[in-house]
Amino acid sequence: MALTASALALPGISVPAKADTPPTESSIGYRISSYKEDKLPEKFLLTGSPERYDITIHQFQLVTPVGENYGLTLNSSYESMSGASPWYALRSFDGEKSIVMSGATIHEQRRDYNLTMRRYHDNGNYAISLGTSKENDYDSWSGGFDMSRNFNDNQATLSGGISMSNDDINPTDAALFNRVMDESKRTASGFFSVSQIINQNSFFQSSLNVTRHNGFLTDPYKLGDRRPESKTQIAWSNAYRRFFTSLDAAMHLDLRLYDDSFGINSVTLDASWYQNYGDNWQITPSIRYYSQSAADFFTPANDFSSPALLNSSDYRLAAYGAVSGGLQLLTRLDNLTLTFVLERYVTDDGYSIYGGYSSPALVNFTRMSLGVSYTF
Amino acid sequence: MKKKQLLISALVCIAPLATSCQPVQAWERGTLAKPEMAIDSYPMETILNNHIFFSKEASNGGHNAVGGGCGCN
Amino acid sequence: MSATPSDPVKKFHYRFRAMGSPCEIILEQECKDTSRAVVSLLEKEVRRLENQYSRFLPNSITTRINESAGRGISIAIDQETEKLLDYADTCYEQSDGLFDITSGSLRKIWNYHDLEQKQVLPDDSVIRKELEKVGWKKVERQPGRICLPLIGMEIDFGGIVKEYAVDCVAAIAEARGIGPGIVELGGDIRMFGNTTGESWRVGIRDPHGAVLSSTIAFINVQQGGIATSGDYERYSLIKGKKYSHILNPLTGWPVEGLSSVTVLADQCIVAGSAASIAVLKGEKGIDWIKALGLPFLCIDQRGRTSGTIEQFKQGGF
Repeated sequence: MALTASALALPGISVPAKADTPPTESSIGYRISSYKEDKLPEKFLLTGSPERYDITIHQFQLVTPVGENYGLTLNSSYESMSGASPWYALRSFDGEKSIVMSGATIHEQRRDYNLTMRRYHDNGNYAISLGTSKENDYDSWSGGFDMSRNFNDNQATLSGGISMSNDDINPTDAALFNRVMDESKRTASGFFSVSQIINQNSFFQSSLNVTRHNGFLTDPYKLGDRRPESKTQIAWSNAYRRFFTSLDAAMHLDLRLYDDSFGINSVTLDASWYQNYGDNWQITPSIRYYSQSAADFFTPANDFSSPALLNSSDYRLAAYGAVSGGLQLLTRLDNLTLTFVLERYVTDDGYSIYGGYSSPALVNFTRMSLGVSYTF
Repeated sequence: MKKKQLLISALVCIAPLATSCQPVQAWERGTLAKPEMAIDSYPMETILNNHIFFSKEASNGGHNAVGGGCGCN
Repeated sequence: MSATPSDPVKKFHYRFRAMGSPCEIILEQECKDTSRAVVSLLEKEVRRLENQYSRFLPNSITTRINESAGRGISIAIDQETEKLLDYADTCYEQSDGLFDITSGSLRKIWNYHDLEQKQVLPDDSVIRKELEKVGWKKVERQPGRICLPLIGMEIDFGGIVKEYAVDCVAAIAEARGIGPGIVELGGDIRMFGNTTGESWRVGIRDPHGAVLSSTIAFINVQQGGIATSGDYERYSLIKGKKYSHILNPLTGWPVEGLSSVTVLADQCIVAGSAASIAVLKGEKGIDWIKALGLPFLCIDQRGRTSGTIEQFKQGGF
């Protein structure tokens, strides 16, 4: 109809599909999380304490509009961890007793700060980000730029960005344990993303993220660990979001495929169901499946070749699968939002879709988080 | 009351996977703006998860460029 | 209007005055402070349009354009104004010249209060002289510019900007996921954010009426815009004949048509123009609105209602 067609041409009548506008209000959030890795089963422990990490993380976030067109986000966290981790893993002769845990229990803290300033305009937005992470043996500085543009009457969005970081590594007790001193690592990462609205209740997004690391990539606390001086990795992530009006619930499905130059391939599958009860309650069960293949140079320590070649017995480079399930409970009260999360994560080489060397030092953990946020 | 066929036929869908993209009119977009429909509904939870999985698994990366590192991997 | 969603208890009502009319935004949101921040944003948008287009404000584009009339100069306009003029042009075409935003100057001749007191009608020659300054086709337009070539010519966005403001507010609310809610600016209504398919019961009343005026009808609406046009029982009795207050820009005389027309459309601006054109079409109004295909309700000079919207005569909340 002629009147309708002419009305749709009016600028005020067509606005961006998803709120591509600066936040209307400010909010601050705090979250405390605690997770404890399960003890290493006694049958695998050769020597050392079976207790693994116990970690507490405090997170802070501030989101606020700045003027008419800008939004500022500040994220900060304080992490304190204590416990032990495997020093090396041997290929045992009876299939058991093969893990040597690190000697002392460590107590360490990490702090990080991130700032993003985003500018919004009629067709999209762009942002500058800065970040830093500090531990007694690891300092990292990073900076990045990203932008986003809407197309096709805001049905589609293209976005992309780059990030660079520079890390300084100074292992503790370096002289005592003959560890390296004063190493560094540089990272450059870029992403490109396409997002498309399918209908008024659903959309999907596909992203490609390529990263290159150069420098010291080895773990200085693991015996005989020697990794390449560069690593290239690529991750392809796909997300589907759908709202079920009659159920007042949203479904999230995510799939990520990963490949890197260490020889590791992985697949990650996430599914969550955000179920609303009225305006004030939301319960979200979620499950995650992860599986990775082993790094090319992953071997038990007794098979380590001469120091000149690459090797690592770090369980995190082994082939394994992990399944985790979580539940989030959210409630709103005036300007406050409270969240409680419980998550259980278990690993097993039997869950893996990849063959290859595995490790008995795979970790399981249970996490609890409590968060509060306030809008003003 | 939804007879906007004239305008709709001119729009082109980008993605091959979405075989039946129906253009969503401005007044129909409320659902997509709900927080539980965002790519990242609870950023603090996502930041936490990304950090925990980074320290325990060999993979990282997603819908953004990877940021700074930490000593936990 | 009195719009009531299913549960009247937890609504947030915000009333203000703008564009010469009582305005109201109703939100189904609990949090008072969040709602307050949100509605002030929405009110800002209404004020922005009022400042831009009100012919009563000295800095509006309308005033600048009207003051330039007959001086042989053209005024630069922005994209939004350009599109609104395009829309006014579409209304002109669709109404066969009856919806004409240059017809405002005729009000100087038809001072109803005066005429009723003196019981005289305006002189035909005076009307014809004023008509020389009226006519959308006389306006000179180039991309990004407009020129009113004759002294005394004026344009008035009053017939479309209120409904447009309603749509703009709804669009902003939806883009931010605000809602469900209703925005009303003096009888022009738009629902937004209604994803549950719940119906709102809306009471249609005399568009020019005061707050306490009677309700014409109740209708159930889920989404979209509603606008009402017409003089509804308001007329001037001069020399024994009723004269409506809506003028035909081609003849310069009041129309004799529908007393009230209410139209439903996805956009309030479309509902508003359709209702106005139906009234301006006089005797042919009811056939025109039927042919348009949008749901409507109308009341003729004899008080008979007809239309395609199901309505609830009495009762209500």
